[in-house]
Amino acid sequence: MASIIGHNPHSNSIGYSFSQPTNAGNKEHSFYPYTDNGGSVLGITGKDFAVLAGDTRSTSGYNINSRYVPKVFKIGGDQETGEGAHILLSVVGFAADGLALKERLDAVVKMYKYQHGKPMSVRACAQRLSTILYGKRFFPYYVQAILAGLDEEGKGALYGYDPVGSYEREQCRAAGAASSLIMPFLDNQVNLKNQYIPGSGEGHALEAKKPEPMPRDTVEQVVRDAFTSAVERHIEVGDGLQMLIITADGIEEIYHPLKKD
Amino acid sequence: MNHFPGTWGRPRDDVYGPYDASYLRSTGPKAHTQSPAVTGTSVIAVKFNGGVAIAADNLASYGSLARFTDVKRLRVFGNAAVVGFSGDVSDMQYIDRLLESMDIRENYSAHGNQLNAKNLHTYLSKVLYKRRSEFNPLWNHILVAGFDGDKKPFLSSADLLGTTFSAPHLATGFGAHLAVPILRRLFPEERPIDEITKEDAVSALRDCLKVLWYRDARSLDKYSLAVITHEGIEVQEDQQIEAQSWAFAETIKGYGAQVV
Amino acid sequence: MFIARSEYDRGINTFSPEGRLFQVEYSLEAIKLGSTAIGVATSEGVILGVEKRVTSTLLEASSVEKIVEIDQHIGCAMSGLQADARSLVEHARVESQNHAFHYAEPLRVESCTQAICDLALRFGETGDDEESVMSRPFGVALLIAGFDEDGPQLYHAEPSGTFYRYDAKAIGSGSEGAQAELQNEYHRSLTLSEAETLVLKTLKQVMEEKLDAKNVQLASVTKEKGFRIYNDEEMGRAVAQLGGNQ
Repeated sequence: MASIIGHNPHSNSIGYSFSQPTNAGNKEHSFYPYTDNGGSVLGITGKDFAVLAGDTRSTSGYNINSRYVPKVFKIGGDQETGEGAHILLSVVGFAADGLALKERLDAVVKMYKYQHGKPMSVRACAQRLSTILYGKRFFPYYVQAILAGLDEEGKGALYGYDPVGSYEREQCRAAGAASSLIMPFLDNQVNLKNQYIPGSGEGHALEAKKPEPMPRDTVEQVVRDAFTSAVERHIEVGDGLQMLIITADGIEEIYHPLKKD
Repeated sequence: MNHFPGTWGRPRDDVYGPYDASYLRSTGPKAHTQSPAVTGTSVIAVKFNGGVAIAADNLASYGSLARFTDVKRLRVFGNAAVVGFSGDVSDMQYIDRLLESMDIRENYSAHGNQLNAKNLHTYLSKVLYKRRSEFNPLWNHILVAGFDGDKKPFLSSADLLGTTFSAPHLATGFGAHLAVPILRRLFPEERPIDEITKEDAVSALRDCLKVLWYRDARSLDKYSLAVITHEGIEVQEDQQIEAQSWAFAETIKGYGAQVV
Repeated sequence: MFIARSEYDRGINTFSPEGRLFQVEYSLEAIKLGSTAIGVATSEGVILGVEKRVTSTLLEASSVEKIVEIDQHIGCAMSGLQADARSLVEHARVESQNHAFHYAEPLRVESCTQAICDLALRFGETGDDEESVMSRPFGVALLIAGFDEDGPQLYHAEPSGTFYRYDAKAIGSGSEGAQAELQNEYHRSLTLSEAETLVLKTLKQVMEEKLDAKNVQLASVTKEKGFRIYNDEEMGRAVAQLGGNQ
């Protein structure tokens, strides 16, 4: 005997009472394991110090998740206070990956000290971070990382990374949502790009200004200016500015409120 | 009468057609959850002087169908924390089993120091992050309320991707759009938490739930509310949204078969 | 019937009632059968020296390899079962290259020694989920010489997995006599070439054959040149210098 009910009861998914155009066969729902939590970070080095700063806003789309989620971390120090750390790491992009990366690097730096009986140098840490990132080449940590500290000679050291581990030592670096706003400002103000000595010549003969390491208070002011400007033009940046400064005396933390709009 | 008990009580093939077992697929690639099935909507929570208040309605929806109307989405962990779940209900029940067994294990162990809400949040966020990294997510967004190691009120969130954040007031799902602005206005973040009383916090949550009931089509007027203080955890699971006014609905124009 | 002691020397991970692991102790005996190897650390660098035991005139002396390189800045001399040393050295080389790859810096000498000793106790009955490298303890001891940020260093690693740092150390069949000689002759202000001579002189005393440029091998670790095994010309010069001094 033929079936009384013409259609198959399981062939339709749950739906609305009005009909929906469903000419596409099965709806392809695929899980996307990443999100962008916005925010920006910025690092500048000086003669005997390095500054790493980031805003404290966390976003999901147009939502502000929280106004205080730090993006700059002390590496290799106490779990709660960060005491004893001598390296800084900032991560911006997908916050969950950022946190996982930070915790992994922190464990590596601590294990290194137990295994080799000496604190890890920033140079060694920089290489290790690169291999950690590259190790997840085919399922990357979706973050732009910046590592900072003092090198073997006591000079400020800063390393910038892409999500799969390419890295380079630099004088300054901006990363994250507003990096395209901050980086050109840094090029001009820190590396003195497109700045010439007035009256030094005509046209191409103009002599370019030579960049020199800036004193600490100037650097801090440049960082604040960079962020107050980024806040004006980028919706994912704001709420607060967390600034970590590493010197031979240790790590100092400064918090500055930013606009919350 | 046939003599195969396995077929007794089943719809007759000759009347209803053969049973379509295709959704019980047992061959082919292993499929992970790609979308949630039965879901709970917003969870909202706020810190106050000496504790945290958290609330969620009692509905579990199957798409647009209000499928289960008596589901408890606030789960109490020991006497330390309350976890509020939105998202997939079966994944919530799985996580609840995890927490249950952990609670039993912790209580049997001799060391005595109970896990606090902060520990619990760290644990849950790692579970969620691990599962997302295996492309087999637990489809939930959770809020954890309780106290941290310093006995200060603690409130933090974790979602299916393992993203975590903390704030004086938090909400998941629709609540992030509708409840958070209300809470931010009532309790500005620059205002110290000490100035917020338990009564303020609870009444703010009730107001937010009412707004959600007005505007979130997947919400319910029956809800649960938990208050965590140093005295203990107080859960009320049969709350009812009261004193509604639908008068505003009269003024809404532009939908349906409206003539004027 | 068993004599009391041998009841506990079958299971290699079984303690005897006196608290001893006989198989490990026997492995230390195996080293005492090996050729003598000597290391001397100075402020300028470390000298390693071994006797080669060229047992036949038909034996190609250059094929006797008892000093090997681990990395540019670390090398080692061995005494005991040479084949066992190969797996230890292989492990150390991998460990050293891994460290350089991950940290863009040379591995420390102590860390390298520790890495070797980590392998030393991975013997015995295999569990269900672990893989055991060896079914018995290694039958070889190593003198590990290297140079890092703490300067030149000499370590002695045993099959028991313990290691110590030495100013001067002798292992192998002639170790007792050689160690006594080193004890007398070593002082902190030795130069590298004096250390060369001390090593050769000590070897000469404990060797059965007459020492010449073919049946001993020297190597050095210095800051400037790293680890180097002496070539025939350098060996000839060093042996000639020994003759001149005496």
